[in-house]
Amino acid sequence: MEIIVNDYTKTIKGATVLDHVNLKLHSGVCYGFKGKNGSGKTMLMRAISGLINPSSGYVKIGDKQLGKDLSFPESIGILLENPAFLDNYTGYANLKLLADIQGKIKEKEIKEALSAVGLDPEDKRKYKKYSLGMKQKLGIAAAVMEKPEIVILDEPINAIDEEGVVLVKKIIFEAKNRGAIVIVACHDKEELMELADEIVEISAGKIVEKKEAV
Amino acid sequence: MKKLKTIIKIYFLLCILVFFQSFFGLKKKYACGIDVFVRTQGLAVWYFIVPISVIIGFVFLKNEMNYNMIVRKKNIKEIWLDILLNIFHSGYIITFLLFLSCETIAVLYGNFYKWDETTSLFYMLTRGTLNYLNLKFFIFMYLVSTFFYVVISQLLVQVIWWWTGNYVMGMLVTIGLFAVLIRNGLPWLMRSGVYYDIWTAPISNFYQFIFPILLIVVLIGLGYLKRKRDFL
Ligand SMILES: Nc1ncnc2c1ncn2[C@@H]1O[C@H](COP(=O)(O)OP(=O)(O)OP(=O)(O)O)[C@@H](O)[C@H]1O
Ligand SMILES: [Mg+2]
Repeated sequence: MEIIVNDYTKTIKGATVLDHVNLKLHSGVCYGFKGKNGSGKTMLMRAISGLINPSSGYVKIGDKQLGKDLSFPESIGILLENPAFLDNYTGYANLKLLADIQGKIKEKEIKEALSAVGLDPEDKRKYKKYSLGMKQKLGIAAAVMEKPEIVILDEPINAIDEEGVVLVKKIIFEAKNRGAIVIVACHDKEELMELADEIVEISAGKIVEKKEAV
Repeated sequence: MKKLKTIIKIYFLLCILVFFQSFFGLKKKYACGIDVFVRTQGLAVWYFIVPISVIIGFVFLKNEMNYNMIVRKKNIKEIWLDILLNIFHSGYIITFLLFLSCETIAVLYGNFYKWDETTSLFYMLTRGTLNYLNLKFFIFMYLVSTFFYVVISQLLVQVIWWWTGNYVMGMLVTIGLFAVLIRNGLPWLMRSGVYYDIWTAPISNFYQFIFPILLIVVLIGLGYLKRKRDFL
């Protein structure tokens, strides 16, 4: 599968947040978004997820255009800047709620995803009692539990301890190996080089460079 | 389970509100329980229902409009449908709970139905002309207008949010609009009041049922007209 971002421009209240972005993303590759704060990394992720609509240009997922043939990619898991869950549900209950929307996975896969990020599937604590890193881990579990074709992780290792970082790397590696398109943003240069196969550098809503990670 | 807990919370909230109403109302000698019902249900509908349903709508958006849920939906129409289902669920749940809490107080009051007493509030308000009124029909009209209040106020606030992305604006517009309408009396909401000229006037099917249903259909349609939407 392929994601094509074609001449994508997005203006919000007069400010151009994405400026004629052209990008082609392929299966089995991890792309690392790099750029200063406010450069548009998260916006580009929203554009690919169908959460925003272009002022001009388009995004195609395979041969289907977002906003025309479909509203959101058929198989996608995302973690954006802050994880979004219900405060009064446990981690498992939160994931179950999400999984039930499409009904693709059952209890077993949800618990596997929780264990994979280093959370205890039997933990009875509510989400609001989770620590910062635990919340982040739950966000990652939600993004990958359904084994989607597109995995988007915005600053996935934020607030995560060393052990956790090893697990996240493993998860990203596995997603890539089963043929997913993986997109990560990360402010740590070395970690990004390690996670990503290709680095996409964004500045002021424009893609300024796309190169192999070395 | 979680839904049930929320419902129970709302119920207690309503009970407290209704209790205060009837407490203050006790000064105005009620002759019977149904007087209390008339008074509490009517006042609750007028003063509490719109703000409460607007808040329920807000909690719903906060919980269900996050990116994790959104990207798993088939399309934007399905999201609007979810919003609509929530509105209708809260519509009949609130109507039922309010009825239950007002009825509880009415039953606790003792003498349930004594409209032929000259001390009865209802007797006073209708100048004694209506003690033949069909009680079932009377309560039914209360329930219908409560339901319409909840559904129409929530639909309005959600449609405004759906198109502009601004919930606070929708909230202010809705609460403001309903405050004005309630002050001036709207034909389709009228049976929520108990006044001589209201209950002696013939029931107009158009204003009582068809007009609010048309309004609901139009508001639902307005939501479906929006094909693209940014979720920031
Ligand atoms: N909800 C929003 N409404 C309007 N403008 C926004 C919104 N979120 C972000 N922006 C603007 O879009 C531009 C790009 O923001 P974006 O969040 O994509 O940056 P980023 O590269 O992810 O930054 P960071 O490294 O801080 O996460 C910024 O100029 C920002 O002000
Ligand atoms: Mg960002």
